[in-house]
Amino acid sequence: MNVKKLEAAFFAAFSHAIRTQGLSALKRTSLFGSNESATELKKAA
Amino acid sequence: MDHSLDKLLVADGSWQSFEDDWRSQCETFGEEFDQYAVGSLPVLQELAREDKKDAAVYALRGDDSSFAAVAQVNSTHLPGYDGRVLRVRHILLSPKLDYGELPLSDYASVMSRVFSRTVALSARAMPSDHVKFHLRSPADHQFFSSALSMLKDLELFSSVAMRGAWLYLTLNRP
Repeated sequence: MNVKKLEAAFFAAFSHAIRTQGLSALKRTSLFGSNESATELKKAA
Repeated sequence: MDHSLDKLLVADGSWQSFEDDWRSQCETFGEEFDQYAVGSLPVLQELAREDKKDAAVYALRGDDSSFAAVAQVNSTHLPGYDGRVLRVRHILLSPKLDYGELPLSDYASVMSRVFSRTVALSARAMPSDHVKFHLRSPADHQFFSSALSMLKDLELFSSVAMRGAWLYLTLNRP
């Protein structure tokens, strides 16, 4: 498996997604722990 | 900066190094680590207490010893699959990437390294024929749908799909 090639492919895909949707769209995802802070979980409940 | 994908264990102190670093990153932004990622970090810490072959916590560590991301990875047989499935859950990017406003390329770089190096586990440390990434929220679905279209165009994967809360990848093996 060519991990560098795989990394380049993911980099292109994620760069495209961030450019087209904006960093704010990425920051709304579950990749960021602040979206599952105790305060946020309480707000959502 | 280059990164390595390291297995985190409580027993060898690597989990503590990770926790100390993320605590420090949170404090840099005036945030409390104990209130951070409260749904995921306890799960990851519990897994890091065990040294299993097919289930582990992996973190992306920079050559400055800071941790850029963490995830839970396991390999198992699942109904409906021919061969083992590598599942990647609780993917978290660092507090610095979370609270900071870094260049877009930094986010793409860390994400691409987390995804590519966890997929690489399917070829070596946790041999598996399929890989699935857990997308935990509607916002995940929306964001990754945009990336999906590009991944489908590549010859690296024989199959790329989103179904329910999962992003499925099947790699083309030589």
